[in-house]
Amino acid sequence: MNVVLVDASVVVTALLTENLKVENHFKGLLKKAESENLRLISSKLLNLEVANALRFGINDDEKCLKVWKDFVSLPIKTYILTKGQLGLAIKTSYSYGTTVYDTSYHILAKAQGATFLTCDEDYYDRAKNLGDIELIG
Amino acid sequence: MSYQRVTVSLPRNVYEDLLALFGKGKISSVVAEAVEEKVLEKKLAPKDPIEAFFAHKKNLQKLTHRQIMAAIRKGRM
Repeated sequence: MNVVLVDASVVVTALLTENLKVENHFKGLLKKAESENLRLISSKLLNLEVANALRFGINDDEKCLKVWKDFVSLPIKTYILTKGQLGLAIKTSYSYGTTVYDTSYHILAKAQGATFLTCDEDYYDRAKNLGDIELIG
Repeated sequence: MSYQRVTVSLPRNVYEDLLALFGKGKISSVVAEAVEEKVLEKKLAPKDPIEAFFAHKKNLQKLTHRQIMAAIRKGRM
């Protein structure tokens, strides 16, 4: 079964921009995950980053909370990185000049045999040589 | 209203807070009220969570890619 890992940039771009390519792609992944034709995964960091992006991307707290409630019902399975995986994220972030936050998604994707899907062009440009990463946007 | 007696396990700190804030005699009614609310929430949850999530789009202000990345990272450092 295919495994795809998404970061917060995919979720928030699909929701808060007019970018139909990202919206349709993400929606397609969610539908496949719902019908169990795909494992759609992420790091636990996803929840925190999406929450922060909603907090600073939506002016109205009531609207923000409604979005949050529906976000947490999406079929995305989240994982906590092990201490060893975080160690590798630190090492890799030095090698590629990236943050541990962004790199942790990539390391988890590698560990889970997933393709890391991101809208973060800056991270993609720096770390694409690590492989198993796809830029969408 | 009829009642069903059940055994539940709570984290010790939650139990101690319940005792301190509501008193021993109120534990059942507080727990029942909280569970009732959770059950109702579940009953009212959208049938299609994916469509429900994307339905918010029409009510939300659109951001640029730069604004989105800034919103995700705000406060990290």
